[in-house]
Amino acid sequence: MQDQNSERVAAVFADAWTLYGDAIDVLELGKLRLAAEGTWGAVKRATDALILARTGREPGGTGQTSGRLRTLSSQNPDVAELRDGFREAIRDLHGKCFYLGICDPPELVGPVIRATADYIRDAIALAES
Amino acid sequence: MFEGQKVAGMFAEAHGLYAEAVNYLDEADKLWNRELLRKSAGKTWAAALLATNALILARTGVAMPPDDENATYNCLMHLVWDDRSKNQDLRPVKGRYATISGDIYETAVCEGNVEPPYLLIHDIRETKGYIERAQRLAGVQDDA
Repeated sequence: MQDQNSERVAAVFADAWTLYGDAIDVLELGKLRLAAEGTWGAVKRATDALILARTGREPGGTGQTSGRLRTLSSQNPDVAELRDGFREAIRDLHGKCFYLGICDPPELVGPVIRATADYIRDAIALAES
Repeated sequence: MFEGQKVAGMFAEAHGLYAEAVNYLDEADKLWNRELLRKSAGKTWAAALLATNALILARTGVAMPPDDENATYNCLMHLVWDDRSKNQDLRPVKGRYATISGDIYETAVCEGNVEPPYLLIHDIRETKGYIERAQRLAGVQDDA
């Protein structure tokens, strides 16, 4: 059971990296809005993997991910910063840039997308701790 | 830092709002009353927004509109960008602001969803640290 869980955690983190890599490809084509949405997907999957690693349960939709991350953060102060990053990603990448098309300042959104690699690494470190 | 007295006054008001939030929270806890918990969330949010606007005023000299939380967030975003090559002390402020805005303001205050109460109570109590951090970053002494 433990091994199955570990395998699933690794697979979900791999999915996060795939989404992130695709988002960077799209970013290099200058499609900022689509890159933002792909990056948001990577953030969500990395968060799902962390929650699965810590609780044994993989979230479904965004509401579940957000709610379980909130619970996890209330019990584990080391997760609080990641929760803030998750909330920023929802707002900056998903809500504002993708849904509303407000991707400004553009010179900031690109670096925010690239910096998501740090979010995934942080989630992996927390999952392993 | 700009507008020292005005900024100190804003932080004093933010602490007052937060104290009201704690009073509502204590009452809500005693009476198991979700409407009081929502009121506590409203006061907490008002305190956090005011503290953030005070920090922005101290750093930039720009007075934000008091009720436009999008404007406040966008300003924080630009400040983080402008500050990127320096000490990045505003970076965690923006992150926590996004969390407070999402889970306390949008979910509890606007949507009226205070479930589960223990998580909202935790978030309200944690917001004290956010206000204190903003005050430190604005260079205002504790006795403001």
